[in-house]
Amino acid sequence: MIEAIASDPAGEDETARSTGYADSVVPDMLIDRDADSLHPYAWMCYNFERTYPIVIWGLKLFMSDERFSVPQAGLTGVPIHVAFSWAYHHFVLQDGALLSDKELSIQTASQDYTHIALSHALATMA
Amino acid sequence: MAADQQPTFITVVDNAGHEKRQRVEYTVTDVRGEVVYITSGGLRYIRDSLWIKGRQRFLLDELDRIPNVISQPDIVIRDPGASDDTLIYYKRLYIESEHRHWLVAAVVKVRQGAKFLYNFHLQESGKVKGYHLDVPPEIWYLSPRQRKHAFGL
Repeated sequence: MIEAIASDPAGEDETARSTGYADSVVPDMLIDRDADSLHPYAWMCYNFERTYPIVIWGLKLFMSDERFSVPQAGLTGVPIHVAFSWAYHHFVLQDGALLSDKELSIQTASQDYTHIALSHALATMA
Repeated sequence: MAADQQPTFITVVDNAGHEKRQRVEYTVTDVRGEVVYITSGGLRYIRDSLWIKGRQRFLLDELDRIPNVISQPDIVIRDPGASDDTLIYYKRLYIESEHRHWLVAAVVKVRQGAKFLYNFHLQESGKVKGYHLDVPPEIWYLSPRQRKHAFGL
């Protein structure tokens, strides 16, 4: 499972309300929105370890217009599919010791996380 | 409904196949008489997640209703993304602080035959996960007092 929550740099509006999680155009991905603006602020996949290829690809196709920063990853102003690709790279491939020492030693540019994640999907599908 | 104090530990296998020893905070007997483990790790994640999602923070005051959601749900579906190991228990609750009803979801994963609570969150009214799919999610349980179309199915 993965859940990503956007925080507003300007601070939290105490009166803001949620629509509740709902289906999106991306399979397995639920999105919660601000009840007034209907702007997404939280994304969740219950089965990201299985569905990550279609989730990452779907985010790239349908939701690449906004930019996010992921302080934990040192990423600034990246599309959401890069943030999810980093999460797969970090929490599944790295934590699961699925990368070789050589792969771990390579400095990864932000745009490469998607390439690595989707390449892993193709490699393990065969 | 049964929510028993059970100070014990259990080994949870996570999504990556790693074994993690977790304290069982309590167990709940679900609507079909099966035990669901509520672990300290699961509750910690739920609390952290609800706190960060400021718009859902009021659910922190409703965590003691999780046993009721699991034991007396309105509807339970198999997750269309993982029908073999994920059940989603939905119940419409009246939230006093909000002066309104909300549909809430308790996500339960099955690992090596044992059921664990993974998440607890708000769900958009009348629309369970996968309601719009050509092949709708399988209904695992439907309360006799409910109709499936009330959940988009």
